[in-house]
Amino acid sequence: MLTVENLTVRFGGLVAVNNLSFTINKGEIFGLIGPNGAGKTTCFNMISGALVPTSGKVILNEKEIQGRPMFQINGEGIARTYQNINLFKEMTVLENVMVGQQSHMKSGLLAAILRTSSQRKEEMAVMEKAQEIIEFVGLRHRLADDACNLSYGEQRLLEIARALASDPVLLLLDEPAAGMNPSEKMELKDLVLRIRSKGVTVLVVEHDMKFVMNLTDRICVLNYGEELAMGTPTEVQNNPAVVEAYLGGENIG
Amino acid sequence: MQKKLKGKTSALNKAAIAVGVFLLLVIPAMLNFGIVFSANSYLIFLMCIIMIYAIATSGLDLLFGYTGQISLGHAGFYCIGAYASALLSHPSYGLGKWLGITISPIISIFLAALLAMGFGILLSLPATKLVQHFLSLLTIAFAQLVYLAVSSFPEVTNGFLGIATIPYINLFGIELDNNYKFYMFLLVVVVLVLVVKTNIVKSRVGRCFIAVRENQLAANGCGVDIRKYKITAFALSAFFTGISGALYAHLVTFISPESFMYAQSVIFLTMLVFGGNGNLLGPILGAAIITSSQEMLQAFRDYQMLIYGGLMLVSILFLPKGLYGLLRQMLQFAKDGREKHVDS
Repeated sequence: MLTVENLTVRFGGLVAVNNLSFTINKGEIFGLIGPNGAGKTTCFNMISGALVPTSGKVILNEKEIQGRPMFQINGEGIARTYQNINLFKEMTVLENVMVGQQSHMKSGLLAAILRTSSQRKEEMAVMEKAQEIIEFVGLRHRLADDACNLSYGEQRLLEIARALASDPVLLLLDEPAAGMNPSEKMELKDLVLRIRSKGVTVLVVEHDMKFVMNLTDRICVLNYGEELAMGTPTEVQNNPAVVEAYLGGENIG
Repeated sequence: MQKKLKGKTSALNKAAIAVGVFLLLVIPAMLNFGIVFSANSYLIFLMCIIMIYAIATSGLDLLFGYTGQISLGHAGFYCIGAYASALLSHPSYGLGKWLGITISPIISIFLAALLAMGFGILLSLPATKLVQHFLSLLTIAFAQLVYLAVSSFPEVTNGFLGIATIPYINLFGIELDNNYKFYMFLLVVVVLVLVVKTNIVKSRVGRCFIAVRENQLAANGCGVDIRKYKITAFALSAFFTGISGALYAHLVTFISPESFMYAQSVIFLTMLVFGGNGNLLGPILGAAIITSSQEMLQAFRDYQMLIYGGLMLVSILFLPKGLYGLLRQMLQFAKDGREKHVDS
């Protein structure tokens, strides 16, 4: 469904991601892991449009999307969350998720000024859908609170809710479990599985190995911007190159 | 208990509405007809000016308060609105001089606002690519250019002598030739502006404005075309400020470049920041208080900019949400106290 072909990006002399290729199948939970600075988030940014690749292709359902602005890529069906939380802090939980539906809204400025019946209907529908999604991620009790007043874990959930609001075919989660306690992580894992069962494909970057190994179907391991290994969690775990990259050489293995 | 509390707040709302009606309708009528107070047209004139500033400041609020884009150049749009409407409706300047036709002020005000909006869009094309102080500088430069334009082409604008005897607004045969009539008309316009502003702010357009203000990266990732919404905010903001300028021209019936200098942009921004941005009532509160204090401090006219600077500083340091924010906090505080009282 999503194919990354020979993706490369250079920052001056530094090659942050080099000739990276992988394919994610529909309905899969795909993990992207690697040591710090391996190029995981850079790769994410290129898929979501935050960064223009130097060369290579990103193909979503047979359509090349690399280098297009983020808001258009969101319209194509890719939604994301952020490693450093990026919420609309002074908006309520409900409003945050309503903004997430932007790509599917039609009524414009004039309709808003005149409050035409189709505009009001759309607003109602958007609000109801936002409530459903908030319920789905388990933030119902926080509906009317400002995003900045949420706990760290709740803010991460809200980011997921906002991303889901655009009805994505592919959801990119950038370190969703960071800063969560073990029970929150369990709930998160359950949530991601429920998202997948709705037919959404998930690409996840995560540092927490236990979390990734339990959650994903396949994993791509990056090191210094290049693919080090690819396969199921068990395959990857037993790959000597991966063990070396993570644990620092043969004297330990 | 919940019900009882609700009943109490609605009583409070009713009281607020009553006070509002008294201030906005009854007092001007008393001033006009000389009931209790002696007839005073000047005070009514001041209230007109407050209304006009409230429209401009509400316009600036859409750009600064909601979308988070600063403008220190709104005097430019104010100026375009005033001059455009004057030149379109005056029998011996502009259209009247060159073609011998004039446009009724009620239409020329609208056309002038559209022109200001056009300039707003033009300015936004480079402005959407700038942030913070670079944006401030660009908007200052814009207002300066407009000021220079109206002062350096005396064949069109009569230069520093200004344009006098601008026609009154004629509303279906009723000439708004005194301050009281003009005030009643302004009241309707302000209500319309506020309705339009509320509708915008509560729609997806308003949500996108706030999203752009809060976090551009996240807005972009959510499918918000940031550039498009910044341009929209500039356009709307310029439109409202243009209307305000045109109304000013037809109220005072005299305009000259001095009314549209840099200080005017600062006044708008001070009113907004002091009154409270990002809401409906803040800009009006700011316009009312700053205009009245301007009048009371006539003796210190030379220190005007100093006073504005001080007010701006105080607002930014101690009133981040302006006077409106403070009032709301106090009301909330009182309400919480009462609830605690009922609970115990």
